[in-house]
Amino acid sequence: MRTENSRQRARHTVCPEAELAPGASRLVELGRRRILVIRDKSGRYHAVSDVCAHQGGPLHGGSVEPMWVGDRPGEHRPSDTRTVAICPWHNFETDVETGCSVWTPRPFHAATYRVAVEDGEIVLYV
Amino acid sequence: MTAISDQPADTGQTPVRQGIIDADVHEMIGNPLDFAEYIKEPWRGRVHNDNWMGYSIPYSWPTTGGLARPDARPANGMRAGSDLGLMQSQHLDEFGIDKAILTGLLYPSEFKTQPEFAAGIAHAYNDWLIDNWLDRDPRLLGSVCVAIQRPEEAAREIDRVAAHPQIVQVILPVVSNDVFGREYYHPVYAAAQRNNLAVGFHQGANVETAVGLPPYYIEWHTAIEQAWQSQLIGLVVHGVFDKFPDLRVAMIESSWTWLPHLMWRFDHNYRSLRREIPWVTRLPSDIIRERVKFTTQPMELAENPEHLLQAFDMVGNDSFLMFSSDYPHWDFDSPARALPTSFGPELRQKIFRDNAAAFYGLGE
Repeated sequence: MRTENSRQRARHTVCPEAELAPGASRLVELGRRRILVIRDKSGRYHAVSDVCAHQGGPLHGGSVEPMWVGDRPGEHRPSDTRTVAICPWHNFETDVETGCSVWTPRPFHAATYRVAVEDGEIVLYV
Repeated sequence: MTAISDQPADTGQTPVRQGIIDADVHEMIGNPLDFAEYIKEPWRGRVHNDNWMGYSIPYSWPTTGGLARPDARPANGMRAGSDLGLMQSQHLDEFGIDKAILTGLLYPSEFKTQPEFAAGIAHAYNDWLIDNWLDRDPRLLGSVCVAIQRPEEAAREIDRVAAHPQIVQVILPVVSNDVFGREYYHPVYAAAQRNNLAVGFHQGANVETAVGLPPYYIEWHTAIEQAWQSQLIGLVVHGVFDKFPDLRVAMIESSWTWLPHLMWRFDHNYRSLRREIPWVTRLPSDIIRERVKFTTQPMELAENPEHLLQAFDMVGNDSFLMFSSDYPHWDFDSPARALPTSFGPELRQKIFRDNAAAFYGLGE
């Protein structure tokens, strides 16, 4: 992984795009900072703190999946728009786009980061 | 017709403006043969003094008067709560009760056998209630009796009697053998909502604890609040409040100081396990805080009254609690003495009247 300092945020190259398939995620460690880089099932990229906002559990040890939603009792449907990281400690769900836990009101917040694909490589701005 | 007193209610401290609303008063069947007159065939012919005794709590009574205060038993020797005149003089007039929500105690929803018979008893009970109580004192407000094990028929029964201007609620027992939040029972909540009625949950005769029926009455009486907790959890989990956005629910005689614990634990589990019930879209504590009320009796006697006051902060508001006496039962709470000294005039006004007036839609 390469790191380049820009004017405001440091640019980190995570890996070639081909190494992160849709639905996969990769832990990036930058010093003491741990960031989970995610390519959701629709191909969009997200980057969220790997440290769960609840008790600091490692999100990369859990699962990343479409958020389960339902409009009536008994219905379970994977969301077309929201992906969550589920912490292996207690199973709290973090929306990987916003860094917010999924319940309302009064959600927990985790840091999110800008992630992009540039010249075939996934890059992270921290 | 009994004249309604315009004197402020005596609650031992600051008078309650516009009088007390008592959210739990039990009208009881006196002579079973009088009640039987309201039962339609084929069910009436199946009720005999020696073959159907109704249901009763399965304990002997370590109390001075059995289920009720012995001084509430009428001169004719019938059950306490069966005499309107005595209820008026001993309770409504005595304490300046402006409105009393009648909650009965015969709940066909807890009959475990013969569901059609249960529905027939519910139908009869509602006619008996209107004739013998509601039409005889405008201070009395009624709860619709149903047999929820036949949900569609129960919904029709609610539709049948809801037009009576003094009917304000559907009453259900907190049972221990099923979850009334399940979708199978939703027609009852739909009927309550479309008729603008609350749904009240009260203990019945068959309720059990987490260990079933423990040997002693004191064990049972202390632990049965688990049944209200389970039914409340079920209403949230099975999406009743999401599906019926105007539904109002009252937990009656459930005790209430356990509410902060349940809200915290329920929220914590929701954060962890929401995926199992994705149709529930808000924290359970928020749903409960917004949609569910509780009643005061049996009022805990905390050694430090300030601790009871702190419970309102933990719940998050002071609008969830409504005064109830449980007249004429043995653990009746007196309006004059039940609330602790730590509750100030504004809070007492809310508990004795305003919270219930808002919840039941009783105009000022």
